[in-house]
Amino acid sequence: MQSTTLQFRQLAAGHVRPLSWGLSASFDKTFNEATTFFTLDESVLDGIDILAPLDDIPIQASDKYAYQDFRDRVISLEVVREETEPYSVVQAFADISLNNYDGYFTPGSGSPIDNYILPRRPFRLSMGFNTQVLQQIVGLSDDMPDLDKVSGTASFHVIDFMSYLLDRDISETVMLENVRTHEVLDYLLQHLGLSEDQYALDGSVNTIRFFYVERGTTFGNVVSKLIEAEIGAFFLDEHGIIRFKNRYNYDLTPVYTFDKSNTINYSVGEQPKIINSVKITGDVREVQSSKSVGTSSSTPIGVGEEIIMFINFNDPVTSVVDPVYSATPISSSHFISALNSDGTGAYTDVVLNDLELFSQSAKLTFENVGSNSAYIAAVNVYGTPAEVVDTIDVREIDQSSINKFEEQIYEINNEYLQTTDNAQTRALMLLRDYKDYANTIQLEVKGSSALQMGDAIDVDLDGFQGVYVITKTANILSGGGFKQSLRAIKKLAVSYFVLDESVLDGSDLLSI
Amino acid sequence: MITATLNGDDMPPIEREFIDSPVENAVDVVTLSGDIYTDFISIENSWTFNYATLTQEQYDELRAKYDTQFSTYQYPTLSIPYYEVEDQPVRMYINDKNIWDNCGSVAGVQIIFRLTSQLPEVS
Repeated sequence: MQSTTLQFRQLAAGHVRPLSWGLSASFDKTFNEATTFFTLDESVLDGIDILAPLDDIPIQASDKYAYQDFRDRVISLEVVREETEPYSVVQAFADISLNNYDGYFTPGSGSPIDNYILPRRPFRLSMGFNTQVLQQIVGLSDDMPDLDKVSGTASFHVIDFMSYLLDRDISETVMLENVRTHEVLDYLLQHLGLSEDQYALDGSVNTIRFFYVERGTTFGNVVSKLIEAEIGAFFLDEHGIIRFKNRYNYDLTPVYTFDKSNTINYSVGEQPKIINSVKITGDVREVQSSKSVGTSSSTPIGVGEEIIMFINFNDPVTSVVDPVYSATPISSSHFISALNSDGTGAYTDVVLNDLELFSQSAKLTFENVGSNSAYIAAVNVYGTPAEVVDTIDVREIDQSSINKFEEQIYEINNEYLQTTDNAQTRALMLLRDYKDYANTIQLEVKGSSALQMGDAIDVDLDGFQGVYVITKTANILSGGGFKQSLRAIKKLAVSYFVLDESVLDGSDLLSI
Repeated sequence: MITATLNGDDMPPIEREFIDSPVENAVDVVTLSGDIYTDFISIENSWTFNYATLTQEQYDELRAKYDTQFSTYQYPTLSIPYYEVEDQPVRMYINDKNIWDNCGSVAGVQIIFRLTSQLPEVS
């Protein structure tokens, strides 16, 4: 839950709730490096400095755009934050409807921002009560505004920076050895151009013996698997900071109670469906000591000719040894050049000019500098391959749930789940969270814009009692009212197995 | 007697009814327990001027001000000294025209003004 004042909390729970909101955008994307948090007696009212939130959060790059206030043009605001269940990557978007009576947001209308009415403009949006508003999202408009001439409105769809990040391609093949999840995230986020003050990463639990991702893979595909294996959470918070939380960093102490006095409607959540059978597979790779990783067959090479040869590997290879000439096969990186295709007739005038290593192949450039046509009779490249050293194959079921709802299978193939114990923990946590009907609930509430994803709430409604954790929020300001819809999943506190304390075959989960 | 000006011109004298109405920009919500709460944004004013009859000239002048909302894209400004309202933008509504004599006089004219704030200057 975002930090708030007592007055804010009293207003949120009160009879008459004075709604307030904020909306600003930077159409010209001017960057103002001088922006700091507002300081009394130093900052200028209505100047560039921004009010600091109550939480201890540093200034973000997105704060430094020169924003223009559009609060008075707001007709409606909607902010949705949603966790991709069952693994925890959160994305957020906003829909904004603005008064466009004068064509201010209409391209070609002579508007002062005419040249800047373009996609990917930064927006900041906040909601709250009376004088305190809480930032809900910072993001970019995804397209040109949707203009409605009849109603005189301009609508923008804004997507948080995380969504853009998840769609980004990783532009180089990445191979890392014996790294923990947060180290991989740190590497990838910097690779994508972020600086360290733009994210906050918990120390992770999972260690990956060999992390490998090919160039062109989207960051989102990698992150979802990493977080799935880690059983953590990865999200951009309301202030634009990317956060990774490990499986221990959660608090099931309810921050809010919802009963009939402050609930408008509720129903059983449709998503995600029941899971009562989990199958997890994955290949665990580890870098081996130098060995033969690829060979080629005989190839002719003419006098003065330069040929390029590609040798493919069965596994990703982290390093190779440049082949050297040898008249006969040897147990290290070598090539055999000869006058005859079968390797007879030693010929030493073929040289290796260049070797370029890709993750699963090598490009070798040979040149015949002698006076005879010859053959590269054999090439044997030695290197350090990351071979599959273990195969994870785990299946866990909840028979009582299967008896009630038939078998509902959820399959995971994730190479970052490195041990059977970790895979079992993942499977058991999935079963615990999704094996029963009514484990998820949809609530329409007299809520508060301070509520966040991951907050624990105490629910006391017919058929739904206990501690739930918020997995989706939709805050809508429209038609004079503030409407909050929540999706929450029932959670039980997880005890991880502790040596000399936990009981063997007891309820504690192994955390490896 | 309440007097008013519209875009600086005097409104016809009020001879029948003048209604001051609060306009709530708020929503009442009922929870499952039957309790109610109100999400409140603002409370504004609306004034209704009812005239038994207006001359054709008086009516045409008001109608022209109504029409300019949609040609200049600006609300007219209203002043009512009694309520300390001075040159405030108003959304103006006018009811159907009912001509009741051969001189073109119009009967039962109702003008409604919904007060609003002027939008800020944009740059």
